[in-house]
Amino acid sequence: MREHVKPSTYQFSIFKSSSFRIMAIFTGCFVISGLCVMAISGYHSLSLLTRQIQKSVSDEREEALSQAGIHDVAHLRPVMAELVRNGPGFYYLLQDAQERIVTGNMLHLKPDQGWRNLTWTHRSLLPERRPVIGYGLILQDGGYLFVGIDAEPIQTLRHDLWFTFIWGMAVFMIIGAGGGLLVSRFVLGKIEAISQTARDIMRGDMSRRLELNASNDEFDHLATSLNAMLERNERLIASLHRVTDDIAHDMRRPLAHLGQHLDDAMQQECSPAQSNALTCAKANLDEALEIFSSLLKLAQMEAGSGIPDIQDVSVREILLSITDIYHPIMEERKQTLLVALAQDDMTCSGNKVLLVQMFANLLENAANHCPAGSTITVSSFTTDTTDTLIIADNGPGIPEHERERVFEKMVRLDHSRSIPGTGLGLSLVRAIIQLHHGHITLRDNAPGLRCEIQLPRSKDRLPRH
Amino acid sequence: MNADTPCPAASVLLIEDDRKTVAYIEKFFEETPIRITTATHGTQALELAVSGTWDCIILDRRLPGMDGLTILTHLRAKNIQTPVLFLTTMDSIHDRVRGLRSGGDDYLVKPFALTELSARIKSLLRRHKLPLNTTRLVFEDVEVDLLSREVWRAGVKLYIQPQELKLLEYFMRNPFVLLSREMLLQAVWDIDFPIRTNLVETHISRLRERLGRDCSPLIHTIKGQGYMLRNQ
Repeated sequence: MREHVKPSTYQFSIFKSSSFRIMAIFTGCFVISGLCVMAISGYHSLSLLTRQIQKSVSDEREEALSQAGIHDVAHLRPVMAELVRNGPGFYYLLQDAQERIVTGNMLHLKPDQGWRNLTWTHRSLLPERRPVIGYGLILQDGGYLFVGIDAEPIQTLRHDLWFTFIWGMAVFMIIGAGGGLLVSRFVLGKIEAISQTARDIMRGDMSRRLELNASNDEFDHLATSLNAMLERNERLIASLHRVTDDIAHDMRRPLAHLGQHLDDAMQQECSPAQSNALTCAKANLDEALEIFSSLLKLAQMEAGSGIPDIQDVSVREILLSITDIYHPIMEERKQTLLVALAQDDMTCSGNKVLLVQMFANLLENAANHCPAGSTITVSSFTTDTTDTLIIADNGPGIPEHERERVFEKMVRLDHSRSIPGTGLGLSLVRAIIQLHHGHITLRDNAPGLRCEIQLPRSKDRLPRH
Repeated sequence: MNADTPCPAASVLLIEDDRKTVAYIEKFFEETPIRITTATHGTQALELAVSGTWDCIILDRRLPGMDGLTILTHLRAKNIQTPVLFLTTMDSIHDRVRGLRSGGDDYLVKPFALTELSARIKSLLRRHKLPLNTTRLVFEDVEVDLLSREVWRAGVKLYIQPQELKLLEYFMRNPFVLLSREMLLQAVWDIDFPIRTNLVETHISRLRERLGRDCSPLIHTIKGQGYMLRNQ
């Protein structure tokens, strides 16, 4: 059974679009990986520089200690005084056990052993406000020796790394977004091509195929598989058409002969009873042919080969014409037909003959099932994407639990059995609407039946047969 | 019994491979001025259609040798504009559209009533004889101006609804031709499917009212077969 294809009510939002999501994911991944690379290389650069600086400090300290020989304040004082006088860019501090400065180019420090990072407030003997990294050593006699060096290169590198990090992030985001956009456009372009092909096929252009490129990528593999499937479907549908054509031909020919024999017999002299029997036989043959034609038509519409002879048709004009035709019938039956259509043309891409049949079937149903005195109203309203046509009456209506069943083939409700019909009218109505990518709903008109038909508006020229 | 009256002499080529249908049609027309010549094979039919002078061709779609559509395409390619009526079992919308687009003038699906076939042939013969730029139709004391969409009877202007005018115009274009209910539905209202309501009867009744009950009747009911515009 065919799926309903409801008219699209999709509202485009950039933030919900796959294009945006792919771009965001691509950009996010690109930025995160870029930042990780920058963070790792920055960390290693900083570590390397820090180790080199620390090595210089250690070498300077070891040199001073080896010159002093014994590691106490008394032996270190002359060595340190000389270094303070001639020291090449190092910071020195020698304090005694009472934390009094013995010599150095720094202010007092609390004697802590190990590597220390000092701020400018600790070494105001120098004019520059520069950071210092150094090593503090508690001597054998309780004194304290500190040897440090300017940490500005580390600070500068850290600032440079942050600068690179921030600008790098911005560049990564721009490149990532651009790349994401290109990737998403490429991927979505391929998906849109598949989607467009599917839409064309749904409209009946069974010869449509997906284009292949020479890249032999996943999309090419997908397109090849889909094309093979479409090829098979086209063959199956063509085969179905051949079978239905053959059935139509092979069934119609003997039925035609039967009709010819009946006509011949009716031309002969015969008794009233025989004449009556022949008339009944002819009527039964006509009914059988009507059912046969309707079933074939349904099969052809449901085969999915699309709308035959598709063109832009004005649903408003069709409705005005068909209501004009049915007006006298309803008037004769003491029914009132009211027409209140929107001014819009309600242009739909479809087949005029089928649309006329669809509306005629619905008006026939209303005329046949509503008693004298009933009012049948045909109205419409439109939105940007859909035209809604409403045929409502205040007749006996259809019970809620039967409203879906009436669309099934050969189904006739109990109260309508006395009215001539094949039970295929509403099946044809729904098949025609579905063929036009529309939707039909039966509702309670309290009292009566309200039949709402939604047809998608024609947007562009569709492929023709 | 053929209910038709004045029938123009015409030569019709029947291209049909089903011998029973051929015999059925030939028997019906044998006492009329319409002369039927039959071809049962596609290639032979094309030769006959090209070589002879025909007023109308009845063409089946499925034929041995060459299908009906190909025959018609060849005829139109040779600029042979003989009216062609398809008589076929192929009745899908696709088939009808292809038949009429390839140059067919009318399309009748089997099984068919002989009276309907006869009416359609006569309608085709008449249509091809009418000048293309006709703007005024006259039958007896009824006149229809196709430009102003006005109708007069015996010089008196009649008030007539658009659907009734379409119906009258079709009758006026086919006087003395028996028009079946199906032909009227199809030709006047584009209704190419069976309907249950008495739509044709109601519109004919209204048209008769408009034309005047007191005047001599022009639209006659031929019981069980259809309607005819005639003066008696």
